[in-house]
Amino acid sequence: MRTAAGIACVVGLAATGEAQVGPRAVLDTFTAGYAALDPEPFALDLRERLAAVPADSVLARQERFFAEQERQLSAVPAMKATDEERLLLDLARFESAHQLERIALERRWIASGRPMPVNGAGTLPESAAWYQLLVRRFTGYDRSPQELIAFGEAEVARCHRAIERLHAQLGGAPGPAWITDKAEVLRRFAALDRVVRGRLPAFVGDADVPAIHPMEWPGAGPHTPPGIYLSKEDNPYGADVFQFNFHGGRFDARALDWIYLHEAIPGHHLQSGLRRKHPTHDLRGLLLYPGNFEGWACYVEYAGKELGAYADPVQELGKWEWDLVRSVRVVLDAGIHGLGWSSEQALEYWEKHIPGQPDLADREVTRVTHWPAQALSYKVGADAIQRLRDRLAKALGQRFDAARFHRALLELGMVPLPLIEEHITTRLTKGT
Amino acid sequence: MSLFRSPLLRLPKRLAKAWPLLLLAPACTAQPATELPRRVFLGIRMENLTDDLRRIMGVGDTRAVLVSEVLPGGSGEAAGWQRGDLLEELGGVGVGSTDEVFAELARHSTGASVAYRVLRDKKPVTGTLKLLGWPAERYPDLRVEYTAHRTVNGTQRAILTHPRTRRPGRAPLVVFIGGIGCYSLDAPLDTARSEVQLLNRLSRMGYACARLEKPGMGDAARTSTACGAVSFMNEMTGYAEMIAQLKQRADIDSGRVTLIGHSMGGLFAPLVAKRTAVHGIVAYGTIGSPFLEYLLKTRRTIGEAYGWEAERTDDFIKACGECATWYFADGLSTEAVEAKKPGCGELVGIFDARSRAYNDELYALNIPSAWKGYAGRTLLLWGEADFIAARHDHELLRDLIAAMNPGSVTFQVVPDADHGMNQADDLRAAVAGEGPYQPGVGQVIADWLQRTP
Repeated sequence: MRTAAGIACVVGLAATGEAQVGPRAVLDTFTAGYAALDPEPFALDLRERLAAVPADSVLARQERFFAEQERQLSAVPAMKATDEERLLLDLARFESAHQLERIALERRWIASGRPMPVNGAGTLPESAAWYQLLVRRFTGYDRSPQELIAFGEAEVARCHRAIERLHAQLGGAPGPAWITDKAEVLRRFAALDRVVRGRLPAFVGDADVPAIHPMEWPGAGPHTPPGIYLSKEDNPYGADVFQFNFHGGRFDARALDWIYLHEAIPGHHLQSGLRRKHPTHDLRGLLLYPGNFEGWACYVEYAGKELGAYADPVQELGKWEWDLVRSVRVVLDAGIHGLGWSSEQALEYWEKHIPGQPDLADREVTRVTHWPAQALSYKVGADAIQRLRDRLAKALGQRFDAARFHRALLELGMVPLPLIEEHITTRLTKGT
Repeated sequence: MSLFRSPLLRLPKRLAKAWPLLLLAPACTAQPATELPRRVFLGIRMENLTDDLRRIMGVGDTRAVLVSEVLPGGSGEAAGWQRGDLLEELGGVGVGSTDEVFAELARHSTGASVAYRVLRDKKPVTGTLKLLGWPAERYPDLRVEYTAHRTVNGTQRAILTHPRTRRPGRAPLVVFIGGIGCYSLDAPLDTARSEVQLLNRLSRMGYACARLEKPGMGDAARTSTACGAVSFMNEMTGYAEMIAQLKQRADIDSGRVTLIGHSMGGLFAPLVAKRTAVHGIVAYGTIGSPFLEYLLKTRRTIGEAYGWEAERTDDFIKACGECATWYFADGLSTEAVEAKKPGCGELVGIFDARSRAYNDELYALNIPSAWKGYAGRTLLLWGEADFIAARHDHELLRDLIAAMNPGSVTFQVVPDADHGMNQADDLRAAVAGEGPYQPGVGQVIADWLQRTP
């Protein structure tokens, strides 16, 4: 399908259908054309992303395709569409608008000589437009740097309050808690797995989640993230796994609960399992929205107590300590890429809130500098889901059912969170 | 963090580096001096079976290695191997670790057929694998030749790139010599690396560009002295002989040869020029002072790059001074130096990657003598975020060369570049070491080549 002829054929089909083309045909054309173009390979690193920008002639071809699709999508008779089709049509419209903006920006970037940023998106020509594009790609929302900084700082303050509360509860700040026996780490994950699975029916209404296997992240170093989820399609082990950082032969016991919730159940593993159980064979199978999947995985960390986690206050403390890292990242991201902060300014902000950990500071500032907007996906996504839940709970009152809400959210699938907000009410009221 | 399966997903570079995968590469065969076949390309990534994997995969104490990825164009793909296969036997020999696979593969040559046995879904599958050679680099606008050269070290490899569209007359030659480490510049699966990007840029300007492989590396693993065994002077002589042979080609202008010496390569360059005439030298991130002086001054920049407290840096420099003096000046082994002062072994052990002869000759080198008599043009480059080489060394070289041959030398600082010619906006970013190729390096060299008559 990834040939010029294939794309021309797809575009030709779209062009000949005119007003008689129904929602399904428009969606099929869009999906086939999108798959053939593979227009925006997923990349976390801005410089890798820019290095992969194709020739202007390729972008021009993409532009023709999405412009034609916008025209087709605007002509679809909405009344004829099912709820599912309406969701997918909105998704196609979201993507078309985003892709046209991306293409225009990349074409101007090529015309200016393909300049590479040296210190984040803030050093690119048209830096504000680039950052806006990346923020939308990673969160699903349009947020200004100032809005993000205000949000990040409020979250930083919230984390500090939670940490202080737990310190008071624990009679002071507890020292490091390393587990050096890997078998003990595995035992504790297994125990938590049993507890969380027991609470799942009340949380998502479906406890039939395949087994998840924790394992040491092979080759992890001090700068490797604390954990990662790899579904069996993404690893050679023939099983769903999540890997935890056991660098130096030790694991931070405070991270046990939140890492399990985030990477395994009900975080990435449950969400990925639902996708597998209900294959969509549609546009959602081609797209990734970090605000959706990282937002969900971060959101469920806050719901740890509902799920039987954080029985030990030290575990909840570990969650908030890591949440502080994520919240500081939000401010750094907007500062570096939106306001042009230097590394020194970023490190100074970090040190103010997380003092005495220079290695972590270096790692995180480097990460945020190289991966613009990625760090936003966790907190902005989780916040959007929580606000949506609060809004619906208020609107529905006694009729609000958290399990149905979570279920509906997950079944809407890999779409940007603003579309979840638009379509979830229909799902909840119709009980799809 | 999550990696959902998606056709759009690219494994992030940072994670790809952390992933414990191993690309097979070794082994080749004896051959005539002017021919050197590509080394065997098994074309898989593999992992040792850890306790975790045995538990998750339910394979008990099976003795095997895991095929974690099958790369396109490799022997494994041709044989129908699949991700998740457990390789139990190769060439009739049981293999229980990646090292054992390497060892077995080293016994065979490109083109040979070897028996194998894998477990697929816990069922044995046997067959015969034809060992294919490594793929060649391919570009729409460049030709890539793999040349072989008989040298003092055996048969060595050079990788020569030219514009695909022939231009009138003979092409000027640019030769690249790498640093101290034992590594190969033959990387068809990683053409984003800085050396390849730099030389391809120059080839597109019309230069024939040769990457000189180190003895014992890449395709020459079994046809030349092992890199870790060769002496400094023999390595240098090998380079000179390769260049002399390249200059004899009908498509090369032997009167317009420029050497690019990267790091230690910048020290080889003037010595090579004594043996075969060149009209230009570019030295990037090189050494311009006696080796011990170089070591000590750059230990300070290492401390700065890692953000150490001043006291720690002070102790580090003192320890390096003592340990390196015993190792280089007194010629003691790493073990003997460690015995004299615990901790020294870690500081000097890195030099054991090269031979004692190499280190002795490097230590004995007189830098002004090395450059004396060189009458060509010189461009000295230092990346602003390079903490492995010292700016001061380049300034010393600039003054030395200018005194010998006024007006022949240029020193330029390349902004936002680290020792590896990659992008880094400061020392912190250079330590992280994740930047892509810094095109500014190629720009500066291209401009200088255009200006240099």
